[in-house]
Amino acid sequence: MSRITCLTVVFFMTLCIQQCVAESVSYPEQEVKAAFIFNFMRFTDWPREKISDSNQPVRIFVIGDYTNCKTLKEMDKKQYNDKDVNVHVFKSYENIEDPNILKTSHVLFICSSQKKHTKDILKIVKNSNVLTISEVDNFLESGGIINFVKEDQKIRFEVNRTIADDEKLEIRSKLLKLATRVIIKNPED
Amino acid sequence: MSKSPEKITNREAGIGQIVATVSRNMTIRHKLVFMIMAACVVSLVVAGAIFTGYEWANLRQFMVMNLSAQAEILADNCKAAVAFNDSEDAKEVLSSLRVESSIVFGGIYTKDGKLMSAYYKVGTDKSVQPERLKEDGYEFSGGYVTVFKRIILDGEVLGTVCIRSSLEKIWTMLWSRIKITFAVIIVSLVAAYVISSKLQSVVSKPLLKLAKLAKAISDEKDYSVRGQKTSNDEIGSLIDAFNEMLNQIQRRDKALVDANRQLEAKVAERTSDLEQTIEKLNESNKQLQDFTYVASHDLREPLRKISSFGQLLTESLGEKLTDDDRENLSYMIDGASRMQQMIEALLTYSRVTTRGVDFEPTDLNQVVEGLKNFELSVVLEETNTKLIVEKPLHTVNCDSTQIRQLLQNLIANGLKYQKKGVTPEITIRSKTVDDSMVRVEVQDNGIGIKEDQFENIFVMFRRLHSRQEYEGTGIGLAVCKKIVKRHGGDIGVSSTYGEGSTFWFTAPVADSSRAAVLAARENENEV
Repeated sequence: MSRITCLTVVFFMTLCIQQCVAESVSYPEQEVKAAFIFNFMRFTDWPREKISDSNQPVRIFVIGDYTNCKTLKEMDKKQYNDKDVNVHVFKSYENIEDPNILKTSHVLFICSSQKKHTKDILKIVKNSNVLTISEVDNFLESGGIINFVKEDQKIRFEVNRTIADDEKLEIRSKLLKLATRVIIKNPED
Repeated sequence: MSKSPEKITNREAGIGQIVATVSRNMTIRHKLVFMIMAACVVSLVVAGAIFTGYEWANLRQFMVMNLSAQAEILADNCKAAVAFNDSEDAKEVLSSLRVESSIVFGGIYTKDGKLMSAYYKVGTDKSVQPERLKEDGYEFSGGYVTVFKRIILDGEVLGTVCIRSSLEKIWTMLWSRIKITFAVIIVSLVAAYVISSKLQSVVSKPLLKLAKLAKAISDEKDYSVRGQKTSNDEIGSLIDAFNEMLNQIQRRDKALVDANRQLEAKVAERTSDLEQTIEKLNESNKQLQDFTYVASHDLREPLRKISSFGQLLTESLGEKLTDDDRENLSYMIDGASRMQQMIEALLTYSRVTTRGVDFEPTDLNQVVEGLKNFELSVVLEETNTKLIVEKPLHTVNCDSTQIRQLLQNLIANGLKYQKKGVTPEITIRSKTVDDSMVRVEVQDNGIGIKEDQFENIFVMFRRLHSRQEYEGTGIGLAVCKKIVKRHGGDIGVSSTYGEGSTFWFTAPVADSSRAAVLAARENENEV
C-alpha cells in the first residue's frame, strides 16, 4: 500500500519537474532570441535617411506572442545610438489596423505563429529599409533578411545579404561571420 | 622621529671609522686608490641598481601595455561572438594568442563572470587561469601578469577578456640586462683602477717627496735643502710652510752654533782666568803657610824668653814687689804662655800639611795606650777620669803621629768640657763603615753641644764658651778636621745637650785589618 503511494508520488513529482524543465527551456528561447534581435541591430547600419530624424525613436516591431518577453520590455527602456528604443508587440498580423505602419519600423520580427502572413508582410515592408527577422523555414528564400535556426540545441541564425543590400542595410562582417549560412548575390547575375 | 638625524650621524661616523681602521696601515698611494675605487664601486653599484630597477619597472610597464593592446583587440574581435553567445567563434578569436609564446592563458568571460571560451598554451592546464575576475586593469601575481579588458558594445558591458602571460620573458630580459650592467661595472672599475693608479700620483707624489725630504733632513741635519713646489693647492701651501719652517730652523741653528762658539770662547777665557787665579791662590796659600810656620816658629823663642825671664824676675825680686806689681807680672807671664800655646797650636795646624809623613798601618789600641801612659797620664789622674776602650780597636792606615794628635785632642776636648762634680767618663770604640773605612767614636759624659753648633765647633778660633769658663785656643778641633781630611775621612759630632757628646771620625782601614774584617764577614755568612 505504502509502496504504491510512494511510487505515485514519485511519478507525479517527476511529471511536475519535466513540465517545469520544458517551460524553462521554451521560455529562455524567446529571451535569447529577443536579445539576439537587439544585437542584430547593433551590427547593422541603416541608411542615413531612415535614421536621420533625431526625434524619432528606433522602432522594433514584433508580430506574434512575445507579449510576456522580459527582454523585449527591458529593450524598450534602452538607447541605441543616442536614440530611444521603442518596442511594440503585435499579438498577430490580424490585430494590426493599418499594416502600412510596419514600414516605419527599423526591425521587424515575425514569429513562427505568423508564418502564413510572412509573404504579405514582406511585401508591405519591401524597400522600406526594414531589417526583417523570423524563425520559420525558408524565410530567406521568401525575401527575409535574418532567420533563426536551431543547430545542436543552440540558437543560430542565417543571413540573406542580397536582400539586405537591396534594402540598403549594411550588415557587419562580424555578424556575417557568425551566421550558419549567408546568401550572397552572385556578381555574375 | 627626532632621533633619526643622530642615528645618521652615528652611521656616518661608523663608516668613517671602518674606513679609517681598514686604511690605517696603507700607504697614501694605496689609500687614494682605495678611496677612489670604493667611491666608484658604490656609485656604480647604486647606478646599476637604479638602472636595473628602472629597467624592471619599464619592462613590466611595456609588458602590461602590450598585453592590454592585445586584450583590447581581442575584446573588439569577440564582441559579436559574445553578443550571440557563440563560443566556437570566441575560441577562434582566442586562438590568435598562440603566436605569442609567453601567453599561457586567454579567456572570454560572459557578463555574469562565466568562462565562455578559453585558450591554454600547449603544455599548460586549467590551473593557470586566474581565480577571480577583475574589471579593466592588470595584476602581477604568482609569476604571471594578468590583464583584464571589458567587452563593451554600444556602452553595454557584454563580458570580459582576460589574458595571462608568464613573466619568464621579462625575467630573461632583465637577467641579460643585469649581466650587461655587471659587465659594464667591471669594465668601468678596471678603467677607474687604471686611471686612479695613474692620477693618484698627482696628490701622493709631492707628499711622498716631502716625506722623503723630511726624513733626509732629520737624518742628516742638513737644513739647507728645500722642497720643490709643483702646485698651488694645499700641498703647495704645505711645501711653502715646510720651507719656511726650514728657513726658521736654519736661522736658529746658525744662531745656536754662533752662540755656542761664543760660549765656548767665553768658557775658555774664564777657565784660563780661573787657572791663573788658582795658581795665584796656591802661591799665596803656600806663602801664607810658610809665613805661619816661620812666624810661629820664630815667635816662640822671644815668647819663651818673656815667660821664663818674667818668672825669674818674679822669683828674684820676691819681697820687693808690691802686690800690684806681682799681679801685673803674673798677667804678663800668663799672656805670654797663652800666646805660646796658641803659637804651638798654630804650628801643629800648619804642620798637618807641611810635616805630614807617609801612611802606615797603625794600631789604635797602642796609640790610646801611649796617650794614657804619657801625654794624658797627668790630666787623667788629676781629673780621676775613667777611660774605657770598647773591644780591641781597629788598625788604620795613617800618619801615626797625626792620628795620635787627633785622638789626644778629642780625648782632651772631652775632659775639658766637663760638668762640675761629675767624674769624667770617656769611651772609645771603633767599627767598620764599609770595606775601606773605619769609624772611631770618642764619647764623653760632659756638658754636650747644642745641635745648631755642630758645624761651628770645627772652625778655627770659634769658641762656644768664654775663656773664663773653659780654657782653650779654639784651634784643637780645627786641627782634628784638617788631619781627618788629609786621611780622606769625615769628622762630626752627635750630642744631647747636657748629657754628653760623641765625636767621631772615619779613617782608612789598614790592609791587615781589612783582611781580618773580610774574613770575619765571610765567617758570619757561612754561619
